[in-house]
Amino acid sequence: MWRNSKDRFGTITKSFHWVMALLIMAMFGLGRYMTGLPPSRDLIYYYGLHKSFGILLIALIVMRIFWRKSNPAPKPLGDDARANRLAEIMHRILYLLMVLVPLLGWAGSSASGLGASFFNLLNMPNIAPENETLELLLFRIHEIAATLLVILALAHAGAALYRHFIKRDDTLRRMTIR
Amino acid sequence: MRLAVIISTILLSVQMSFAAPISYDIDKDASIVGFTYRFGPETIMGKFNDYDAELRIDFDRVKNSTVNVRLDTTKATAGFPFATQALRSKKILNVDNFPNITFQSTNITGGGNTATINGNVTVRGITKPLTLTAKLFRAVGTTADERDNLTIKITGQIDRTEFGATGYAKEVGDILRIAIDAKIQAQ
Ligand code: HEM
Ligand code: HEM
Repeated sequence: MWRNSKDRFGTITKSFHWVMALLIMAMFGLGRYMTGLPPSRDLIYYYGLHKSFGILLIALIVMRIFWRKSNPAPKPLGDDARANRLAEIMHRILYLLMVLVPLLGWAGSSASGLGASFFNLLNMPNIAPENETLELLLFRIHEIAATLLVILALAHAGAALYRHFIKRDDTLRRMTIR
Repeated sequence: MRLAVIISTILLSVQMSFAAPISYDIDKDASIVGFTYRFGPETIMGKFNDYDAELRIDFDRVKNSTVNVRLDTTKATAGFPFATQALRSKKILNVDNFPNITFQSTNITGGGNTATINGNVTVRGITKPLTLTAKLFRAVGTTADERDNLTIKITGQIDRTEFGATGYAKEVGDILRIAIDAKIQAQ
């Protein structure tokens, strides 16, 4: 039930998947929104929120990858080997970006000299030297990688919906209720 | 800048009896070495939480008075999280390389109710002239010749861009208002 079995995803995997999917989409919206705000205390608040939830996502992806390593996913459904191969590559890229995007945000925050804290409770160590050129570069890549992550996740969601409504297999169902 | 001694006219005649300048200690617990800055539409107060100051006031000949101050930039705060980090970062005070801001008076004028403190301030290793205004107050209930326990309020303004402290120019105004409010005790 908690763990993946050979033909379905367990509760833990499902929880990671959906909680993180929601957070990532929200983080993308928040990132875009806050960078367009005029200066005010609200701006600082939203940046703090973005950094805090971003740090939460770093913790979640680390745990998720450990969980995945000790918990192989069920075999893909259907007999379209090419589509399944593509899905597997997509999942790998999504995992990679789920690590890279928040790491780049953290590194950019370090390079800015402002650092990052988890809801002002825990100050994260700096992982990049304070340097403005580096900061701009890291945030540029953070933005590009975050955009790529969201676009690929939408394509991935589209593929899941395609399997559900057109091919009518159980792919989406076993990641949700069943 | 003016050192306004808010003391009654009766006091002025008593002044003649204070021959020597008086050195003062600052009661740090009751004092604020602050500054305000514009952040977008808001005005926010920051503080220097650690500093040393030498303050000598000559009530008879104001120009014999001197003020020397050293502010510890590494303990400066800017009103809220992130703003403090921004203040200390390379883009503004660059505290790793410049752990102090110093001020030395060169010429103090005034008397009666006000005084102007001319001096040199060094921020980020750059020294520029700075003029401050000072006012002295005595506590309610003290007599006009009170000298031992006074309050000094110092105001002035500084353009951070003159010192290369140019970071966050879009968010934070160039001009900072100095707002020092210190309880001082004669040594
Ligand atoms: C999966 C997690 C994350 C996503 C999806 C995400 C997404 C974004 C997006 C879309 C932007 C706006 C880029 C722009 O349009 O300029 C942004 C900006 C930013 N992100 Fe993230 N982010 C994540 C994690 C983090 C983390 C962990 C941190 C720091 C600890 C962080 C710090 C920042 C900062 C400081 C900015 C503003 C950069 C600037 O001022 O140009 N982000 N993020
Ligand atoms: C930011 C959003 C999302 C991310 C980062 C993401 C990421 C992932 C990853 C990495 C996997 C592979 C799990 C594994 O094998 O360990 C996966 C599986 C899956 N995802 Fe998503 N996902 C997102 C959103 C969605 C959405 C919106 C849907 C549905 C509309 C969806 C449907 C699925 C399904 C059905 C699977 C199971 C695929 C299989 O059976 O192999 N995902 N997702």
